[in-house]
Amino acid sequence: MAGKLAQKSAITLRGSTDIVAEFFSYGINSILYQRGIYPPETFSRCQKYGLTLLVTTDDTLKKYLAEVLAQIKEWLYSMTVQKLVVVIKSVDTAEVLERWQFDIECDKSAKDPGAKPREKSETDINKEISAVIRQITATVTFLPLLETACVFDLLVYTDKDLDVPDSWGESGPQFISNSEEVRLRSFTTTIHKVDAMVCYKKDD
Amino acid sequence: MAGLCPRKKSANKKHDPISCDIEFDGVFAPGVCAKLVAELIKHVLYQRQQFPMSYEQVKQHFHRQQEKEGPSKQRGLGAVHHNKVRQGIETAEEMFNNLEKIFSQMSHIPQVVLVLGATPVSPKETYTFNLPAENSTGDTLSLKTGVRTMFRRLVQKDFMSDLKLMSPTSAFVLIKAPRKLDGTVEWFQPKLNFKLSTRGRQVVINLVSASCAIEEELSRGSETSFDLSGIAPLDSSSTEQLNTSAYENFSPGQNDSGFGGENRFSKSSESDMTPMLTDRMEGGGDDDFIWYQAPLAIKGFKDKSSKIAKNSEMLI
Repeated sequence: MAGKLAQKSAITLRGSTDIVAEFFSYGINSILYQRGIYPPETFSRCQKYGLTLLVTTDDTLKKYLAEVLAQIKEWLYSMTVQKLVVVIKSVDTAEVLERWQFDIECDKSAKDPGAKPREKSETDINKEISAVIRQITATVTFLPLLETACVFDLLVYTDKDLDVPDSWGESGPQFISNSEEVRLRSFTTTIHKVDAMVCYKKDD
Repeated sequence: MAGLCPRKKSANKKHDPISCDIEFDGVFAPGVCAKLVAELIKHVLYQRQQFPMSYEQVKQHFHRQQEKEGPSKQRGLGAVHHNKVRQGIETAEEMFNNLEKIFSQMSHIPQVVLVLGATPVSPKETYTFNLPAENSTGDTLSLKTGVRTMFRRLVQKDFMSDLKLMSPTSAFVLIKAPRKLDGTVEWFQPKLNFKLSTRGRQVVINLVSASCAIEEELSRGSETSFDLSGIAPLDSSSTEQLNTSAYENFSPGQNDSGFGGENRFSKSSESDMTPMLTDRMEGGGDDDFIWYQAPLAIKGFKDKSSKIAKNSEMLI
């Protein structure tokens, strides 16, 4: 019993990678739903982190996200990823309207040979993640309406000398001109820490 | 020697109230104020786990499900859950509609309270929304501006995420408004003896017109004391004195509210006098404010109809 309990609160690098990658998956789905990037009827509900979340049922989108997140998982495990950014831009003008940025801090000592698992319960981590997602939902109430059809891009900032996989292309930061920024909550597994923020075009 | 039992720790730890000021560069029409209050209630319901999704999302999904499946398809536990959702939405909608009505009827509503708990007097959490003062000046702001300013501040402050998780419970709405017991106020019911409980977690959200920050301080009343310069707080000894004075000052033969024969010259009991005096004390100034309570409570519910996602289900 004690062993099982210890396992529940022991976070390894692999476990932390899974948790963070999973958060990104649900987080991106939430943003795409909340901002109406895809029609609401293409999302289905599921329960995660004590919340009801919306996840896409669109096969093309699911495949795309799964591929991207598989790569992000590798970078999380090797601790070579610094940021994940969801960029929302107008289809017509390609103008960037919103940037949801997730900064990632990695405790590289977790990669040391013989590094011990960290003590933090899954419950506590899920509670922190739940707070971030609820805050993302609340944020939508004050963001400007996206009045034109929009698409999204995923940008990943990695360490400089990393080889870029073939299916990925180098990109500029896609900043927003005349913007406002709101810092959101963070969560940590003790190995990876994720800070969230949203940047949006000022509504004139 | 007699054994000693360790004193049980109190289950209810007293917390300091959480306060959040939201400043606006202008004033709101009463209808807009009502909508801002409704948005605050929706926000609290979601953030405090009373609704599994944001209010608008709950409504959207419910109506979509109704269109897809029709109202009669649900059976068993599905029907129970469906009814809980329907009831939650219908009660909330009725609440918001009646909020707009009462705001349009009243000259000024300084305070709205949202109580989460089994009853209004045994709350787990109390949310007090102090509204802009009546004499606020400035440009009239739109609902869009109000909502954006309010939620930006609430999201930045984000104090609700640090509160303990809550199971679904009832949400009661009370409004402090001018006394009108002539039946002009519909739906909301006067509660002359109501006092805000100090039990549970207290959260105070102050909506302040920037041009009236000072006036806001003076007009904001608390349930336990209201600072009227020159008037001492009411306590039992004062009540005693007032009762005696009323008796002593009465002149026989005078045609007044109900005193007549000698038998009715008895001293009023303290309980007869206190509620009215308490209301007057809390209202302050020329206006007489009392509490009105919504006759229905919004009942929270969990999501019982969507599947529970497995770990790493979303990843390859």
